[in-house]
Amino acid sequence: MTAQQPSIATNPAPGAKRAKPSRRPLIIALVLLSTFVVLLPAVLGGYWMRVLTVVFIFAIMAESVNIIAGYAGYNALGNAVFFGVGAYIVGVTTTQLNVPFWAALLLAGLGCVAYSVVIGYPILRLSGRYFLMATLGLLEITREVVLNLDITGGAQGIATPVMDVSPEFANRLFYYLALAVLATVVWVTWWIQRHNMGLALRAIKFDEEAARTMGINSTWYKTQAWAVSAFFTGLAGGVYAYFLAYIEPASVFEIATSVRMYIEHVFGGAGTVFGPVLGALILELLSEFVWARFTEIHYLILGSLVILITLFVPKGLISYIRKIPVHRLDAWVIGLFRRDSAGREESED
Amino acid sequence: MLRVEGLNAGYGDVQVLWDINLNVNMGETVALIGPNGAGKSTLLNCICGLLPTPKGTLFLEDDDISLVPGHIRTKKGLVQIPEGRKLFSAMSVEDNLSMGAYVRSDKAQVSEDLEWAFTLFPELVSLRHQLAGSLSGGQQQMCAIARGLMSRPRYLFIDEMSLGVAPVIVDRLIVAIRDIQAEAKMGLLVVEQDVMLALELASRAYVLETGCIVSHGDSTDMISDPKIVEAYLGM
Amino acid sequence: MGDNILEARGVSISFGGVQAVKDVSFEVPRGVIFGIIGPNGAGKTTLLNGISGLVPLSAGHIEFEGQRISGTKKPHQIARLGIGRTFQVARPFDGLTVRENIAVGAVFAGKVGGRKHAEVWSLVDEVMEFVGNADKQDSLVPDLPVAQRKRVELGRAVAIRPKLLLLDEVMAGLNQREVESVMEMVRRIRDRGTTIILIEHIMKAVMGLCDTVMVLRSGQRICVGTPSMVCADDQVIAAYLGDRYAKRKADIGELEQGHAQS
Repeated sequence: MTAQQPSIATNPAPGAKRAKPSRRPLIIALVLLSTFVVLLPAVLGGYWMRVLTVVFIFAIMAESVNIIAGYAGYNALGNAVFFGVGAYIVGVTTTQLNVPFWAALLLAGLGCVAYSVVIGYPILRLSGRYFLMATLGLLEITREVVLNLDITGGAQGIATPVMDVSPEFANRLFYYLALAVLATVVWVTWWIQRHNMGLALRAIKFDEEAARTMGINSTWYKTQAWAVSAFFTGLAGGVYAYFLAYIEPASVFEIATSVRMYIEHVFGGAGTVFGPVLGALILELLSEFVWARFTEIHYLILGSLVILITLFVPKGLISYIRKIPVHRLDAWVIGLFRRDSAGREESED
Repeated sequence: MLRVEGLNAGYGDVQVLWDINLNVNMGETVALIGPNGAGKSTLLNCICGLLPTPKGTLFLEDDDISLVPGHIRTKKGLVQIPEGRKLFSAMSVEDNLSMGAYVRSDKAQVSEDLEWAFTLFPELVSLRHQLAGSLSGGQQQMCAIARGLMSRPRYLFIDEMSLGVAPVIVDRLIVAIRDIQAEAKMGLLVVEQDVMLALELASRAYVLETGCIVSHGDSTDMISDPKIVEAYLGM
Repeated sequence: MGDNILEARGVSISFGGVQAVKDVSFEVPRGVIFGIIGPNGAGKTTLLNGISGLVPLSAGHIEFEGQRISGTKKPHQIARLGIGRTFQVARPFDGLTVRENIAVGAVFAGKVGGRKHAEVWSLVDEVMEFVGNADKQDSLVPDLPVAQRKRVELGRAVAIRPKLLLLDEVMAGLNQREVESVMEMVRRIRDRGTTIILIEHIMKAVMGLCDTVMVLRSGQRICVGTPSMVCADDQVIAAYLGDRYAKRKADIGELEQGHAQS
């Protein structure tokens, strides 16, 4: 039996009859990566820290939309609506109601959960493309409402309170905050993948009617999925509100943002745990690079990239990465550090 | 004579027909009966070249035409009137009939045949310029048969003539078929679920059940053959 | 209620302006294999959809173990009560492996979901042995041939450990050997205590398997009884072979009776 690529994004623990595929390479990679990311601020300048913070924020949103779209199959192209709502909840509560930032952030998440549950009641009944259009409509409508309310400052936007700390501290604070939220949403996704909810969502994606006849309460699971997605997207919005210190309807309810995070999750691998993060990382860094060097044709390049992605990488990067024989690489690396059973010594310092 | 020998066919990895042997003589009307899903339409499609047949031979007057493609078979005189008619619904009745003569180059004969078609089916005269899609089931069936005749077939295959057609019109069609045979004396293979209709029209019948011929013989004998009920109902 | 696992009274179902099922009533005793047959468009699948809760009834009601399920229970609740089903065109979950497909059945309606993983997977392994899919457990569904896909669907439904199993043309498209194999499986499922309602076109299978057969034509029930009763029934013969053939047979029958009497 061929050794299997250890991949988290497959079924829960295999039965006792089969040998567990080795997870070691993946765990090592994760540990290395995490250490690297956590230690990075020590060597990065403020500019790149801020760039990475935004990347993390997009990664959070890509990972979040993955739960409702990649897993459940309900393609919420307008999911950025929760980004905007989250940003505004933080904006309004901290400026008008003097709520401390951390509480405001939590409110942002919970507020979005409530919004998704209430709106989800009618909208989640819609199928496929109708749901997609409805979420876009939701994004537009919410922006217009926010634009026309007084409490939100209308078109003027809101300037969030600046924290009484040094710029370097602020940069690091937001860097680690975004990173923490990202780690949390990745962990939640991993948890979903491993438990009944993941199986239910995937069944719903492939055939909702059949899923219901198999005892899956699809309404319940869809609502949960969108609520989780909304929560983390809302958190991302709340962090962004303070990070940028200024928000306005046009920029936080932007359709381009919504489309970007959706594409990033598809590019990286819809329905996988790490795919969306990878997708966001690559596309956002690429976008940053392109914008810096090719400002005039920035969108042309990115647009072409989207087309190329759809044509050549429709299943997402992760599906190609999985084909790399990691176990062989792993064995080779291990072989570099110890004696093998035949007694030959191979070592490298 | 049109002769099918040892025909096996299917769709992808699903085999549908097993070892079919069947023949139709010039001037003869033969019926192919059997329950839904037995493979009757599939068999017709194989004979007409619309479905590849990996195993088996088809002889047309002793010529092996097994590898001849479908559109050439039409030119050789094998014409199918498919199940559900499949008329060109956005074209007029007259245009549909003209399409039937597409493979022919003898213009004079074609207009003669057109007139003959209208004599056979006077009901179609007033409907000449009407869109085929707006006709009733029975009228469509007449149009479809007429269209088939326009190719001057030597062997004509009619698939489920009675489906969606009122019983009164079915009787009318039976009369028309008899007239056609009297005039043209072609080899006619009629596929029917309605057993009585089939046995009235044809002199001989084959019974197809789940892809195999389970019985065949003269119509008069077949009427009392218990194998027919067994083929349809399982016991 | 007596010993009936399912009772339908005056069931009518319409959609798209068409009455697909008209005033159909029947009872299914516990532990039998109940066949539903009829020409195309007779409303058989629609009736099954009505039982599963996928379409609403326009009239009548359906009771499962004495409890009304039509109009009051949602599909997933009906599944959890113990009714499993397969679909006419086999539709196992495309992107899930065979094991995962069967696990869906076990976990959600089969009520093993709350328990340990090991239990779930050992049940799945058991079901896969039973339906003969064990060697394909990690295959993705689209890679499988039709016969295997049907077994996955069947396995998924069986994993529910249903009290009542609805099978919709589970033998369509199978060759003779496969049909016999499925028939054997159906018998074993019944022997383990599941009542079965079976829609089928392969008559030999229906007559060979079923204790009772109900015949639908154009949405109405025209006959119900044992296989031999049903095959001798004039209305059934008319539905399948044509009204005139049935009439002719009936006339001949009367003639023979007349002869016998004189």
